Amino acid sequence: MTLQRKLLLGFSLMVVPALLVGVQAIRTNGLVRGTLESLGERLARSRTYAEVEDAMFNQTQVIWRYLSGDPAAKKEFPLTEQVVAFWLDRWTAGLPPDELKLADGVRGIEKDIRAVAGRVFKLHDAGRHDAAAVLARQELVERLQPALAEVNREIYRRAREFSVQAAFVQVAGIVDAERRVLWGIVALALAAGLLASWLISRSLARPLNELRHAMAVVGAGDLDHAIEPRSSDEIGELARAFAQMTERLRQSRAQLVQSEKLASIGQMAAGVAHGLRNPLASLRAAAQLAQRRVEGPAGAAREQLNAIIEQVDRLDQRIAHLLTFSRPAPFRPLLESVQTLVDGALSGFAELLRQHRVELGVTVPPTLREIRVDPMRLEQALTEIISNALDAMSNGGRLEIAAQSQIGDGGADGVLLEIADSGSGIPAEILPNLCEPFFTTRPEGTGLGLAIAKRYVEETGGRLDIASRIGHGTTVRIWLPIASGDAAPTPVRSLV
Amino acid sequence: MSGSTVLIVDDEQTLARSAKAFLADHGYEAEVAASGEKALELLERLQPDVVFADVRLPGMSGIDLLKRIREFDPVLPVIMLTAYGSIEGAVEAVKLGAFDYVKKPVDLEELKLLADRARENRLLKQELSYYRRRATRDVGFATMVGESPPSVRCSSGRVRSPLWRTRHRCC
Repeated sequence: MTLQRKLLLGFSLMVVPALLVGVQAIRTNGLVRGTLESLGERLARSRTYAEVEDAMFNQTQVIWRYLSGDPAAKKEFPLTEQVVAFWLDRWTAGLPPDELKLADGVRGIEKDIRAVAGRVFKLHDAGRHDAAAVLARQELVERLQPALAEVNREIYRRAREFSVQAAFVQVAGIVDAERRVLWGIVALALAAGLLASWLISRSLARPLNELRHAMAVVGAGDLDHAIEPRSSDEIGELARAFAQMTERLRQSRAQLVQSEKLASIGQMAAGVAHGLRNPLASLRAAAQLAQRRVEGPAGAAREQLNAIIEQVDRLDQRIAHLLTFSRPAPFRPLLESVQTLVDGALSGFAELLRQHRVELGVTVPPTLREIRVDPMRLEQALTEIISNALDAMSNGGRLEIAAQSQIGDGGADGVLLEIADSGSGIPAEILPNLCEPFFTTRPEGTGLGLAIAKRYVEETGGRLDIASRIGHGTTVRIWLPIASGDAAPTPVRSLV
Repeated sequence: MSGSTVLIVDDEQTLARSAKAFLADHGYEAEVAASGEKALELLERLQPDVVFADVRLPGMSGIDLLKRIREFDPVLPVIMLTAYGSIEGAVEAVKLGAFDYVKKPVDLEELKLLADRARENRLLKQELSYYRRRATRDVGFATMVGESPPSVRCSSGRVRSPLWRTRHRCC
């Protein structure tokens, strides 16, 4: 997971509790609103009942008005009946089932009022005014009004209890539940937050700590310290970049060490060359003169002198080798065909190949493109490699030189030149040291041949690798870049 | 061939003496100077046809000696000897008008061949100079014969590596 995603996840986790709190608040709000609505309904019903009560009071008032001599009142009575019926219907419509009994009571009383009214009107119309008034007082004032008052008390009591109290209890319940849920959310957020922060911080901090440690180690100079990027996020990439940087640093330090070594070799070589060549010159000249002046038959003395001259020349070659290695002439690249280079390198070996009884196989496809090298140097590099190969095959063998097109590491076109011998092979433990200057396994070697070859190949932008198996032989692989069409060889200023 | 004189300037006495003896065997009259200063003293008296000079000498260097020689004799062939592996000295020497450049250890045969060529070259130049003077005198037109580069002159001054030492020559 990338660092960005980790951070996103962390922040999302922080938002989750807030979301939960929000959801809970909305839910509670809904519940409270429901409770308030039902409370409102009950209060509205109480108001409706007040209208019922009022209408019924009007009904009785109409009866009293008729008795007190208002003939229009009798006609009004059916209207009051309708008004009462209207409000009663409205009131009972929203009534919960347990209160329907109360409604029945009210309806019974209303029915009784109507019955009493009928009888009272009849008595009054029959002229028995006193009897009507007595009946009205007995039935209405003494029986029905107290009964209605009783029912009213009950209804208002219930309204109080069931609306306000119930709402209070309900809201209290909701608040309690909300408190519990909120505590739950707090606990959950705490636990999840702690866990997630721990996981994320660990996955961020641990690789950073490791990287810091690696940087400290590398910073202290240990460039060989292994850096293993474990995470696949940005920190992992940082670690990889650091590992690459360290690797490049290591390589350039190795190159620096190598070039310092070469510089000191160069200084030493120049001094040694001068110091040795003067006495060698004297030695050679003296020997040559003596050889010329030796008296008598061309015998032993002349031969010895010849040997002295030969050895002087050999020593001089060694010195030249050392100087070539430490202070190479300027690099002069030219376009050259691989075939010409191989032929040039092999030209000096015909006699040696015969002496060592070595078969030669050369495979260079004619279609192979030209490479851009310093021909003198590359020929020398090949000469060194072939010379080594022949040394490894003192009892005969086969030398294969093959060239082919091959794409290099960087994707550049190139030519792979393989020089394979069937000699004794090189032990794996010394394989890495072969191209080190002054590394040699032969008592008469300078240890510079392969170092020179490697340097000449690498300055061309190529690579030199050596693979070997004991008893099977050694293969030197040289990869050289092909001259690209537009990159003409840089003209190198003439020396004179 | 007889009568040609060679001056060898080198502090390596064995080499100088061997070279002197070898050249003497081939008909040269050879003389040895161990330093540039001594060489300058000898030059007056000896009037050599060819000078071999080591680049590094005690005191005055071979290059300085070459410069001094050029001050009073622009055509005397001077062949530089050096024990250095580098060619920087060679380049400078040839630029300053050295006839050629030989790396130590030298082959005495090669030394002799170089001396022969240098001597011939000097003779040709002397002849040329003579004819030029005569032409000037006879015809009176100094400008009729122009300056031309010496005919046998190292054109590139290129110095081969020791592997090619036996083929050492100007090319």
